[in-house]
Amino acid sequence: MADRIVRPEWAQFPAVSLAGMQDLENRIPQIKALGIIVESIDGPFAVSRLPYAEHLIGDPETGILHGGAITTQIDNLCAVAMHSCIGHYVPCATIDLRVEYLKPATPGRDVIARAECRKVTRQVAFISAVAWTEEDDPIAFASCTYMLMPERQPTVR
Amino acid sequence: MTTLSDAVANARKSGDYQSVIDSIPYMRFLGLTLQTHADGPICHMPGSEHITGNPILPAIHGGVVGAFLESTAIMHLIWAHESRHVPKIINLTVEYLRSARVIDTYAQAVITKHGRRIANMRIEAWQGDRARPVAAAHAHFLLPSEDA
Repeated sequence: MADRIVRPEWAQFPAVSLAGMQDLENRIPQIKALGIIVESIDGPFAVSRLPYAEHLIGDPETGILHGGAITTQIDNLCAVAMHSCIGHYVPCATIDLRVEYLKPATPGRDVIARAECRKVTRQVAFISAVAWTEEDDPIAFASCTYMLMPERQPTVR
Repeated sequence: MTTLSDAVANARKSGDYQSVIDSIPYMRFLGLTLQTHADGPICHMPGSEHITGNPILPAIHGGVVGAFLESTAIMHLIWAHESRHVPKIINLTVEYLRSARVIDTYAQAVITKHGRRIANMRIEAWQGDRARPVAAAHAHFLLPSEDA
């Protein structure tokens, strides 16, 4: 589990809450366009839902969702887990994201993803995630690296 | 709307792969267009509000950048006659090099290693200056047999 040291340079940013996080997500146009809902945050953990939708289909022959929609869900959720772990909305940027697509998402089913922030250093955070459409049957594993930029203007007000 | 396999068959005759993109809902959602070149298609994603991930900078959502790179690799494989269907992605690693502004973005893919069943791909995306890519990715795809 990640340490939960709050560095002094982080405390200047607004504190994280589930309601605040959901409000912030609603102000991200791409997250709204995908209909992603953050369902829970708990320390280094976060869970979100990507509702199945026709416009997100990547293979019209099967109705399987495009990997890109799941990539976006995971990238977003990793940032949510990192902010939840830190406890403050520290400005950040994705530097690296790797997704392994284990099997296609079941057509018609929502994608649930769970991320865990495993380590936060002064400048870098490491997060991993898993996604599924059926319980206990993962469709994707991911790992994501974020750079923290407390010198930047807050992205949340 | 034409089916994907009709669109691929037509594209192979006419050389116009836009109808393939248009038959894939998620690629339409991103507003993708493409231009074919001798060394493969260059895909274009217009800057638009709904792909924004950071409205304050503003910047394109990092996930959309990854999705655009993946889509460009898929279109390259279909263009290269490697697949009549949407090839299955195995993994994707995206390096974010610069903040992607909400403007026109371009991407092109190359097949770095072509096996019997697996294609290794490298994809780069840029805005304005191709020598200053905003993101790069490498990915593996499973190649379906052509008769499948």
